Amino acid sequence: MIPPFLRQPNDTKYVRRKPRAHYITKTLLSLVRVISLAISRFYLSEQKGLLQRTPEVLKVWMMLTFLVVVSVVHRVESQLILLAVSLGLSLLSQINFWNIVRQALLYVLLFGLLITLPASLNVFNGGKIIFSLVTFEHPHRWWIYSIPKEIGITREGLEYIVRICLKILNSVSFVLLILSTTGFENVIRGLRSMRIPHFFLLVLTLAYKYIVILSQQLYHSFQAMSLRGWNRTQSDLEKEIAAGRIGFLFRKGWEHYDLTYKAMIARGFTGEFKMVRKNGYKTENYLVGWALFVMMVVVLFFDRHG
Amino acid sequence: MDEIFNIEQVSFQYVPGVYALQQVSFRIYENEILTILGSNGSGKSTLLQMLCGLLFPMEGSIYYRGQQLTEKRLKDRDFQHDFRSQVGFVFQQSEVQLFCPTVFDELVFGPLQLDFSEQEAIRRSEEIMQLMRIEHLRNRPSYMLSGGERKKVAIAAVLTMNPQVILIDEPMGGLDPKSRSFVIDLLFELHQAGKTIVLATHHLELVSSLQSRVVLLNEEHRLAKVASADEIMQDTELLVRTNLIGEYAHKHHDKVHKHLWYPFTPHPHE
Repeated sequence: MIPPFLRQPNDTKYVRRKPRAHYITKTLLSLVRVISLAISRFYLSEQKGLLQRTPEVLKVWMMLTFLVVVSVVHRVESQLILLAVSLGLSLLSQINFWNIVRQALLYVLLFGLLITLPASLNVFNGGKIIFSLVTFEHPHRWWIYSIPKEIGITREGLEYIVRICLKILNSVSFVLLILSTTGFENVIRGLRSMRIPHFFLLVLTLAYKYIVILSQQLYHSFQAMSLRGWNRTQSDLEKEIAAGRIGFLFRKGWEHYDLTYKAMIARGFTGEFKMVRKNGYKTENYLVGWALFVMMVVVLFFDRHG
Repeated sequence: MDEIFNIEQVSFQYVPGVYALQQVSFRIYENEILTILGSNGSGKSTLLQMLCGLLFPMEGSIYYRGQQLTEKRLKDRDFQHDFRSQVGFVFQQSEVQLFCPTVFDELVFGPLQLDFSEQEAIRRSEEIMQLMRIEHLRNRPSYMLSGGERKKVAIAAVLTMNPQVILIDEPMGGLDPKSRSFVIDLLFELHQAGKTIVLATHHLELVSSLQSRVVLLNEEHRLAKVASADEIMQDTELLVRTNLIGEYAHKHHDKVHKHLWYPFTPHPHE
């Protein structure tokens, strides 16, 4: 027998509340977003671009070479050439370079601009003032510091900031480019070719896989909660809910691991993880590797003698 | 027909005092299709895991080709290798069975563990991908597959091992009608190829389609009956008692009525 309330439409009024999520909830949802990003990276890495076809080990070497060159070249022009190299590689790999730069700009702002901004002033570095900020009647001396009569932004200071920011931009964007073109599965293959123990790789693969599955479950749990009108609850209750979700995920994870291990045993697993070896290097891979190496040498030469 | 499994008075408890299976006995013969039928929680999956040597009876015994299946016996490498290559198991939850980086790796995993050459493992995988029509999924990781695709990959991953006995837990779970008919066709083909197929389900339509021998478990986790599919399907009272059919409501023109029958098969009306 259907209860009477189910025969009547609801007549409650909407009470406006300020949506506010607890920090545990925020953390969990951020985690889900990071994992979703990792999944979208897989889609990018599935495209058939140049870097996607390049073996993982070669990509690691290319990345290391690029990072070393970025850190040793000093001229702004050299850094711009390196940025152009990244742009070229991303075009050949069908990756939207602007998206990568946008992600890298956050690091540039945090670790480049904000930290080095004072260096643009003549208080810390000498040089020719190109934009005056404050002018005093006379210079000041305080303890070991001396404050000049005119404080302003110098050409040398600006060049220094641009150089640091470009270094960070180049380093981060190249690393992101490599990550965007390398699926997790290929990272595992790369590690395997570097003689990392099989069991470690297996654990890593399982962990990655279950993080994805569990994060999806977590996300669906929160979706279900929001469908039932959840946007703000008492703090204690919210903590309990979040803790309950974490506990649920641990239990679910444990059950999954147990069954997966059984599935492995059922398919003949005895402790040694055997995989198919991937095909060796192709001519194109050698060409890409050498081309980047030669380009790096040219940039170094230009930076020193150009 | 030769006997493959002999299940004798088998009982199992996950939690002390709570039986998942109680004194179940039956036999499985070479090249037959056997359906283990029962409602949710009747012990079907537990029984299949025992047949695959993943769980062991707390009471009673299971014999595989005359040899008792025990934890100790399965530690013997020769026996283990032989048993694992002969008995394949498709889990109910396909996602737990898929643990390799990509679908292709998943398919070659079994043959490689059983010491087949890489070339042979790859050849088998290519052929099975064609059979299951999953070539386009080759480089996908398992978490990027739909439920139906996962099921297909899980079955494919077992088929590359070419086992003589295939245990399938809920083969119809999460499949759309087209995929269901694909799986039923596949089961018939495998049976014709000489495989012994043991499946666990609560879908009466599957029992009706396969017309196999049926081992029926009741809600007390005991054996209710071993009989042909026809005999089981006609025993309405038994199906009600084992909670496989109940009163179903359905509509004729404007009238909703309900009566005791399985709704997808033709049934009488008063």
